Amino acid sequence: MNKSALTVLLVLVLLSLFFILSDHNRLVVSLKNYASDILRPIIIIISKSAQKLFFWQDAMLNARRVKESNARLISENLDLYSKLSTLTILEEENALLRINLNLKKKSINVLLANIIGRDLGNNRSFIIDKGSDDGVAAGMTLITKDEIIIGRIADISRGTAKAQTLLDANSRIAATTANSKISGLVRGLGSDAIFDLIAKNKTPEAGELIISSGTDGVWPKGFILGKIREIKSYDNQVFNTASIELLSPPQSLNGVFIILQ
Amino acid sequence: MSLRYKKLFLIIGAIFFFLILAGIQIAFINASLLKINLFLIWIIYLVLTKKNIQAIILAWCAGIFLDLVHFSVFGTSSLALLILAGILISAYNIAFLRVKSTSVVAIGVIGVISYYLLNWLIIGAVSFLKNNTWESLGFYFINYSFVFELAATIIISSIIFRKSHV
Repeated sequence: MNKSALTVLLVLVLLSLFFILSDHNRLVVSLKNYASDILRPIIIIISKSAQKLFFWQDAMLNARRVKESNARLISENLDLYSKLSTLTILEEENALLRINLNLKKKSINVLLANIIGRDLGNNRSFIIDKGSDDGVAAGMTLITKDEIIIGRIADISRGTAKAQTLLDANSRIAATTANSKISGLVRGLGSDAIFDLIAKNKTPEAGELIISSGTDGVWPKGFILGKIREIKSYDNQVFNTASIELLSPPQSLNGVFIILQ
Repeated sequence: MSLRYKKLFLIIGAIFFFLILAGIQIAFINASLLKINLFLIWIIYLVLTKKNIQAIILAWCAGIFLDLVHFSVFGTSSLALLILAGILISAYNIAFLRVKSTSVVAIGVIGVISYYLLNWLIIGAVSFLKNNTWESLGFYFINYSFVFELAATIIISSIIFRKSHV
């Protein structure tokens, strides 16, 4: 490597180290704001066009399953077809009213945001199209319309925000099982999540819902995190653990609700 | 057209191309099953064509945009790509004298493996400093993304070089 290339490399390495060590510095925040302002319109356009391609990607991947279930459903639905059309309209109306009522009961003020960009692994973080200009702040919780926790705002710029999903290795949520009220900690593993720190003498049932307990003071109480898939208990370990089935994997979402504090 | 204007248009074109590529990477490729890093391929191309300074600057700029969506601290992708550019330039200068299909494949393999290794090291170090935890190496290497990216980077780099150097 020649001298000039080495100098450029060293200067930029030092600059990157400065960014890492002073993440909340004004200069770094301004740079992030400018970069996201420049990129925002481009990723919004590409993300909207990509939705159509993803529809076909999913269709191709699930073609066999769709074909089988389609054949089964056609035979089942012949009798129910007329009832279903009216029921669907009523059900949709009912679901929307229930969401509205539930959120109002909990006095939750939410803001709808679209997911416009994702990290390479497509599970640990993503970008949404709402930022500090829309009243969004770091630390706010993201949920789906079914009140399932997706993650929280990790970083914020003017027009966009970066969300950290509950699958991220740094994500830890105090939780409890819905029926047996067994406490534990939902921990991200990068591509999956587990229900950890379950007392050795307690074993929750597979299929039981896990909800946030709010005891960590960080995450709101009473939101669904997932369902227990399998309990793992080893004699040489102090606590039991359980693998979790996410009811709404972050990879499959296009939009989220931000709980405004 | 004078040389000055031609240079100016080339720079504007390169910036525009860079932004479109960043948009495609963040909004399309990362969400799809195509686990490739377009910037890594571009850096490999610049290293193989001995445009070392351009490769270093591209690595830094690409890292800045990738960090906007990356789960770790801002600056980690930049640092990983910069060190990677340094490794690739050194490896190419030391081990390979000219562009051959073997050197394209070798630089592609070194590039992808080093990039995953650097990500593990840098993200691990940041995570260790912040939360006293270190992510497992297997999480980065034993998965579909790594295998796909390794194969795709080698194939795409070989195609680019076959087309531009035949």
